[in-house]
Amino acid sequence: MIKELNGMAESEATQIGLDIFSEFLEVAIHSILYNRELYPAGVFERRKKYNVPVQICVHPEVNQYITQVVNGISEFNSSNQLEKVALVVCNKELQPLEKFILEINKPDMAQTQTDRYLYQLEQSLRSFLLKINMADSLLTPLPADCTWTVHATTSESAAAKRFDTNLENNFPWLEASEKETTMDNASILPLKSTTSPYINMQMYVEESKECKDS
Amino acid sequence: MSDSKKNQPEKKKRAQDDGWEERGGYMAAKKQKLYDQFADGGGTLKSNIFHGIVIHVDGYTKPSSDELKKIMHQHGGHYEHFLYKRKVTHIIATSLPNSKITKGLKHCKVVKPEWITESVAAGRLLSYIPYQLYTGQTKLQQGLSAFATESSTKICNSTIAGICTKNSLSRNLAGDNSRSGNLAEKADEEEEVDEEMKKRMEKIVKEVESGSEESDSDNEFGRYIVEETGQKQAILDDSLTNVSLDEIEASTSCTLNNRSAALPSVSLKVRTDANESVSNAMKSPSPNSKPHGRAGDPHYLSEFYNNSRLHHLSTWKSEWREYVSKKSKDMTSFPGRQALIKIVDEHAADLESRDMDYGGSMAAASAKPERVIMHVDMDCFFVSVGLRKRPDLIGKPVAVTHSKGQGKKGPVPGSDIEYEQRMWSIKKSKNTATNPDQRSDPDPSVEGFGRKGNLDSFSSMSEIASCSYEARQAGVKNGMFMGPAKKLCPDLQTIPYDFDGYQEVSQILYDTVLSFTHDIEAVSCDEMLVDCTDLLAATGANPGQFASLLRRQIHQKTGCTASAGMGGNVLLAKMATKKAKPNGQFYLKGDDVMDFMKDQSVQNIPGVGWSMNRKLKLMGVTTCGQLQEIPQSTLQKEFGPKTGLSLYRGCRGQDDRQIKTNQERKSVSAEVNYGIRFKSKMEADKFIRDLSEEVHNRLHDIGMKGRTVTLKLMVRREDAPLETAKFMGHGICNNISKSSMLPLATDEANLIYQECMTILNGLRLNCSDLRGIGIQVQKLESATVGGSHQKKSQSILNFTTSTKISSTKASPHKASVSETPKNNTIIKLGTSSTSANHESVGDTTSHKSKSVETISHIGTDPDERHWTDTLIHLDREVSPDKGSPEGALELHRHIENAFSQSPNNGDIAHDEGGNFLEGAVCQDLLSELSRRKTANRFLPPLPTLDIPSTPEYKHLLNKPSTSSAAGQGTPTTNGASVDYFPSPSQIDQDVLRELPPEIRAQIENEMQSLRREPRQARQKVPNYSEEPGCSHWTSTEPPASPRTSAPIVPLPDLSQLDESCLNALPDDMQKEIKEAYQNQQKQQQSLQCLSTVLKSPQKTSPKGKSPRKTSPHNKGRSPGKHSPQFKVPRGRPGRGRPKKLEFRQRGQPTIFSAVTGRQETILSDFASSEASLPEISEKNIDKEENDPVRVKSMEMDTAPVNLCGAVTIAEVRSLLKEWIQSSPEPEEDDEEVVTSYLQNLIMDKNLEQVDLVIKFLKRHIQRIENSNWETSFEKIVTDVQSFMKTYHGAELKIC
Repeated sequence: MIKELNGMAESEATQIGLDIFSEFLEVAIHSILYNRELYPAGVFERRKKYNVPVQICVHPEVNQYITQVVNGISEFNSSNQLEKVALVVCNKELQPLEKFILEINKPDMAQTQTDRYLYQLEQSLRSFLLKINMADSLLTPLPADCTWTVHATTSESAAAKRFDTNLENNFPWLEASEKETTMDNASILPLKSTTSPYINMQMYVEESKECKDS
Repeated sequence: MSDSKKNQPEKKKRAQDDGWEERGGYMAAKKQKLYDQFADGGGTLKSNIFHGIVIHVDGYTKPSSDELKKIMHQHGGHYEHFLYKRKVTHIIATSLPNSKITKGLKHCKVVKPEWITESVAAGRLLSYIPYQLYTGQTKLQQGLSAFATESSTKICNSTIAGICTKNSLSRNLAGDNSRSGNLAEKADEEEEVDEEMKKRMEKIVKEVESGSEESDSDNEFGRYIVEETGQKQAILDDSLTNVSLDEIEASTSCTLNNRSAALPSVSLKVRTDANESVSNAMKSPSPNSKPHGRAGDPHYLSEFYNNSRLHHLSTWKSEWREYVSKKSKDMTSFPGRQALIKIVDEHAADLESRDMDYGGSMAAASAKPERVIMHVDMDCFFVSVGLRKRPDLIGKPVAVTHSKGQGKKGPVPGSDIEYEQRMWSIKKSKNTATNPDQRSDPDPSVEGFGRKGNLDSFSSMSEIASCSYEARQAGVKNGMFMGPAKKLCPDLQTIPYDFDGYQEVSQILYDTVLSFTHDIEAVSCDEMLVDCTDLLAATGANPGQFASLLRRQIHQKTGCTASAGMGGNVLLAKMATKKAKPNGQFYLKGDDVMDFMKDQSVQNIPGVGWSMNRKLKLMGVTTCGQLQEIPQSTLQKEFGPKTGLSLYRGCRGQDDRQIKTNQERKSVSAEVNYGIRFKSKMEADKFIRDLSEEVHNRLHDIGMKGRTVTLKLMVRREDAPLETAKFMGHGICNNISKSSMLPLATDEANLIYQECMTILNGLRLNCSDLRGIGIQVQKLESATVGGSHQKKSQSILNFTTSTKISSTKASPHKASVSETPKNNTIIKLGTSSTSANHESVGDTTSHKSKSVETISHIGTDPDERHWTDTLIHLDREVSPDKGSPEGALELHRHIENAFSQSPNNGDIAHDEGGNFLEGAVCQDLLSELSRRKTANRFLPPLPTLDIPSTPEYKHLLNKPSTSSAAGQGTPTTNGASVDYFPSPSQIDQDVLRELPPEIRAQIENEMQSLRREPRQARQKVPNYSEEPGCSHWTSTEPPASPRTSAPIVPLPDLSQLDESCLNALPDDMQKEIKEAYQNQQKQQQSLQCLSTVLKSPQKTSPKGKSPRKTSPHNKGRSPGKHSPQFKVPRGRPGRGRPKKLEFRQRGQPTIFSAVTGRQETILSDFASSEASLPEISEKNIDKEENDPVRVKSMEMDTAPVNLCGAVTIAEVRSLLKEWIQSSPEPEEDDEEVVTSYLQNLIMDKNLEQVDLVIKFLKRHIQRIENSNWETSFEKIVTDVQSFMKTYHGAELKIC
């Protein structure tokens, strides 16, 4: 079907992967926020992404925060040093209750030819979003007054570089404390994996029931 | 010649007086007469410039031969009327016919007469090289003039464009040469022009010296010369091509330079400077104009190997080793020994007459031979060989280098020399850090960089290969960069490499030594170790006598000096040589060893390198004497037992090393790290192909095959600049080397290439960052001995391969786009199984035709009907299920598919179709083999015969897609993915008619949409002549032979084997098959379940089943995993019990998507079919599961995580289902397999599938209510959970 196009440069494919990832991350964050009811449903607006309806937050400050988070993360990702991104839902005591984790692998460049029009990728991203919606039903409801944050797992060098430029970017990233990262008795709910030439990632939710119950 | 003939009558008269008849005939008398004539004619002797030179004039020259004769006489040379190649040293000519050049005068030095006149003008003997009429080594060393002309040609073009007509392309080189010679003469006459030129040159030289407006003036100068040429062009009214222009340029620039040298006011130094500036200026206008190719250029590799010094050195060593061992077999006599014995006798007689006692003691000594090793080493080999052609440079500091010594070429654009310097110094300081006070000891290579601090003055980065002793006195060292060397020694003269000369001298050297003894270890082209013990015992000579005789002979024969060191072992011999140099000999006698060693530097001990030296320095040890004082135990404590001991022994001059006269090669490699600048993957691909070819040639030359292929890469370090300071060098790099084991030893270029590409792709590097590539083949084994079995089995695999290649070739150029990747695929298939052996095409033709025959045979009516029946039967069987129409359609398509892949051009179509299928089957077999390897605990139960097709069917169906998927992984493909829907023309109408109406409708729809797609570029030629389906079956029969390393595949039941078919196989294959069955039986006793049945598709088929072979995709070689299609199972060894319905139904949607690439329409169908299944809850999950994007593992080196070959969840499920339902209680082994599969999935970051698998198991195990199974399940879950805990820090949530 897509024979006649010549081989895409690997760097191009990488760049596409990065862009798509950032885009998807943004949508995913919005979806999680909506699905886990971290913000009232009123601040969300229904839009269409990947040909499925998604809820996008319209609150400007939230949006700004998300944008900056996504920018920061794509920076890590562009240097290929991003391992995981976790949207962490914490309770009032800032104890993590749930983590929506996107784990990134190196995409397989050799496959670039197989999904030229990103058709398959789009489809899998769509199912990611559907899975996020579905996850809500499999997870225990969150207590009130939850807050959320984003953790990026990256190499030390990338983090150090990031800390150096924190001030310039006016959006400081900090090293997460152990308390913020560890969850006792967590269980993992796998959501979706994809391996495409552009993005190779899986998504799962880590949730700590005990914390929620307590 | 003509002159001499004119004078003949007169001469004859005089000659009669000499009584020529008595002297042996007319010619002899004539020669004598002419000689005498020469001796007494010509007047007074003015100088002795031409001493030892004998010229012969051929043809018309200017000045005439008479004048030349006079000149020669006046200046101490000799003139020969007749061409005696032994006597005549130089032939003087301005033009020669081509035939003379190629035949008669091939190895003579043919020089232009200007050499004589200008030598006279200069008052010294100039090198003849610039005056050569032609050079024997046009390709190898282009020399200064070539460099200069190359770039200036462009300017010339513009200047002389008007004058030039382009009619002389056909002109041969000789003609051009002669013209350039004439031109130079013309120039000679134009005195005014010359005068002006000299003036200008002086001016320019001054400018250059002042350093201002360098480039401008240089350019001007260059242009000036060009204009000059242009004028001359005009005068001569010659129409010239670029080629001839080059020649003229060369000669002109040389003439100019030398003329300037002749001017009294211009000193020699200025001349060199001018020389530099000339070529520099010439260069600067177009620095990129080749002489140096970039890797990826078509002729790069050959050019590289022609020019690379290291290449020559490295191949020489092995060449000489080869040579020595060959000679020692061939030659039994030692002609050289006679001379030695003679000397010994004379000497002995001498001694006897003088001192009887001493002679007696000598006899006693020779009676009990002492071990004597002699180390023969030529004195600065490259230089002394080079000086043979440049007699004028003898006694001057000379260096051999690629650099032309002009210096001052700007830094390579884009390079960052400071960076590299920094990196070097970091590297250096790392090593010196331990011992900062020892910094005074400079390492030459680092020093090179250090001195390059003032880059502005001279920045040549080419290394000095060798320099003369005069240069060494000035501090120049071998391996130094040219730039700093020039600083140290401003008069340093550079001479180019003369590989022919080296070869020649080496040859003489080795022949000379071989005439004495065969106990030689070739160290390099100019160095060898000789065990003279036997020789000395046989001749009674003492080492000194032998050494001097040998050295004398070498000097006589080659004109180069050699040094010889002798001692009781290799170490002492080498040390003695150091002392003997230059041009001396030294025998280190046993008694003197300790004293001698005391003064030696520790670095002379073998094993003491750079870092060891530093360590020793820290201990306060610099000489062996000091080292001798350290007790052995201390050394061993400090350096480890082995190194300590060797140090202890080494410093005492003890060395156990033997002379290795017959050395085995351990590895063969070809490596290039110069000029590697790939623009695209294609170039890298091409380059590796060439390099593989080179390795192949080298392997072939030594008659070896290797089992390990190592790809060595130098990759630009991330922070290193794009361009290196050394022009086209590799700069600062990371070194990567990866190996791949081959199942069979090989020397096939293609196989090596494939391995390398696999490794390269696996590394996922940016091709533009590659700076060096090397391929090494290790684990060598002889290509002939013991290879018979391998060869045979190979030939069959070659069959698939090479027929593919041939058919690829046969297919017309205009073959559709869709074809190309397939052809590649096929090649890939074949090569991954063994090697693409082009030569074996002939061999395999018979196979090819055989397959065609079978196809046609099966194509006959009854079989066809049978097949159709099968299909219908299958339909019915499947029909209760909703998914079944899909399935049938699927089958149909698959079958058709196989044929859509072949071009429809009559016979070729047949061939290719068949071959392709065979390739596919091979692939399939190989993959099975490998799967079996991974899960070889499982063995197939007995096959059931009642259901004629299904697993096999599916099995086969998968092939086209898997194999074509393989193509997508290959870098050679044009990157297009392939649609596997058959060409409309391929649809067999009969079969179509038999299909259920709705399926038919679908197919027709599909076809129509296909027709609308022009991109598909399918063949329109209808081809109904064969029954695709039937031939498909036949294609399963190729007798594939097992590979030694690949495990045996699930075998069909023994009863299924057709006796006659088996017997028809080659013996070794029969044996293999039998062995396989034996193994199988053994294993069956202990194991069961999760296995496959390969059922015969047609009971009536006369074919027996042969063992299947597949490419070992767990080896990371199968490219299939790069494509979504890969998840189509390739014949699954997990099947057996009659659970076919589920199986087929589950598998199909996957296949479908893989095959058509159109999931959308199908998914809904599939979903509906899923609905009928028990796991309704997972319906939507399944749907997603079938997303073809999902491929489990992206890792190049590992196969996708699979459970006995099942990759997709659907496959895994059906496998598990069978497992659960087939056995009352689970086997522990199987548990383990499932557990490890789940763990692999976790590590593969595919938790989703882990979840799905566990859920599936849970559901099914709960349903059967079997406590055994439940415990087993719990065990699996616990294991997985604990693994999850360690890997993710959390357990899996099991709902």
